[in-house]
Amino acid sequence: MPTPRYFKVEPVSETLVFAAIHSIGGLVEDEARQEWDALLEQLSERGAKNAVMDLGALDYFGSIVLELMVVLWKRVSAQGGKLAVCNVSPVGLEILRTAKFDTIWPIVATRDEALSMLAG
Amino acid sequence: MPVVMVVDDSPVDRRLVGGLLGKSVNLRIEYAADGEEALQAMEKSVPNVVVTDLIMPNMDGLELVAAVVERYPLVPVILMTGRGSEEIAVKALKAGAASYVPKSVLQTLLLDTVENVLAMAHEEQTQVRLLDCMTGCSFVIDNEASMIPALVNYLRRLIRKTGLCDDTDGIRTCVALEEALNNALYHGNLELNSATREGDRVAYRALVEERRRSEPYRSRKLFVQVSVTPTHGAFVIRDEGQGFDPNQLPDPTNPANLEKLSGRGLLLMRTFMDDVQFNERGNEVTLIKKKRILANNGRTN
Repeated sequence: MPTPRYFKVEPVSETLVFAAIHSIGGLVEDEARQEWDALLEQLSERGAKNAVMDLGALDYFGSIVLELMVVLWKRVSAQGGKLAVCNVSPVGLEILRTAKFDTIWPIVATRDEALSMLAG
Repeated sequence: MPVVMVVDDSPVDRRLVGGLLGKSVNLRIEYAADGEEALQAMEKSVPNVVVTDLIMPNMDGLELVAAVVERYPLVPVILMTGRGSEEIAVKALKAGAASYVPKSVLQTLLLDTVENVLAMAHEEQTQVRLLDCMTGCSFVIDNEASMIPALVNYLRRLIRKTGLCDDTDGIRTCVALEEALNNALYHGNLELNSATREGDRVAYRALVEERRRSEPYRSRKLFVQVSVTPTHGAFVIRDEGQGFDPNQLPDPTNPANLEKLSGRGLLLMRTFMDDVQFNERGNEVTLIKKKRILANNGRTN
């Protein structure tokens, strides 16, 4: 797999944390999708059940990041796991609320809170 | 006449430097004893260039470089460095200093360095003033996805510079513009249906690549017209695809559609812009952003 340009994955126990590497306001859609699909393979490779989406590095994001999160959510849900979202910027929170994703994903302040919630 | 501010805690060194620069009849010299005093003086009158010592009480040269870069990005700073402070000089250059002159060669190099830096700064300041006069621009872009973030970043700076939006509202505007541009590229010029993405993602990516290489998609362009004033921004984005009917799109916030991968671009455009209108064919969108005005009660009108 080529070196990830937009996202990194960190395993924590049964959970995989997906985090933006740096502010990617303005990512290239095709590249991001390809990279994301490759990263998702780590869910099964590492036997991870749950996932955390850490958006801390992002000032903002658009529908492409929402799409990637939906893909991730569907993958973890299919294996009986959960997705939690953390470190969201004010505009990011507006975007999640606009898309009504705050009604289906827990959105918490920090990565530790997200990990505890999924572990509990 | 260009003004040089000399910052040094030693009165003897200040006089020495002032004397060297005073050889030029085209420079006016002002003085400050440390970084704090320099910044206080700059609040009243901004010099064209700052020449500063490195080691000073209160605020040293390195801290002064950082402060000037942040508050007065068009004012260059030249450091005077003593023996053994080359490493700090490199740090200062990384922090945004324009140049540095070792104290051992001040007599031969300082005036030339100041004049060179002033000439470069004058060119940059003129360019910025010219850009300040710009209220609109247009772009014709190939179907190259990497151009979109570059254009959005450019527009973010433009709308911030004109004062149309604060930082947060500028970000919201960029979200909407990015959605509109991606929509025009993928759904417009490449005629990729959102539903295709719901299926085989590898096949979808292959289709994107195939369309980028084949006619009629390959030759299509995106046309972007921008008009921005301090109170009003209009962004017109046109593609050369078949167009679409925005009224036919399903509501992505309907609980039944939350699992769908696509369909949120138009929602974000409408949320973050004041007005979004498509032409009849559906291949041109006009996004309008108005300046938010705070009423006396602190709420946005």
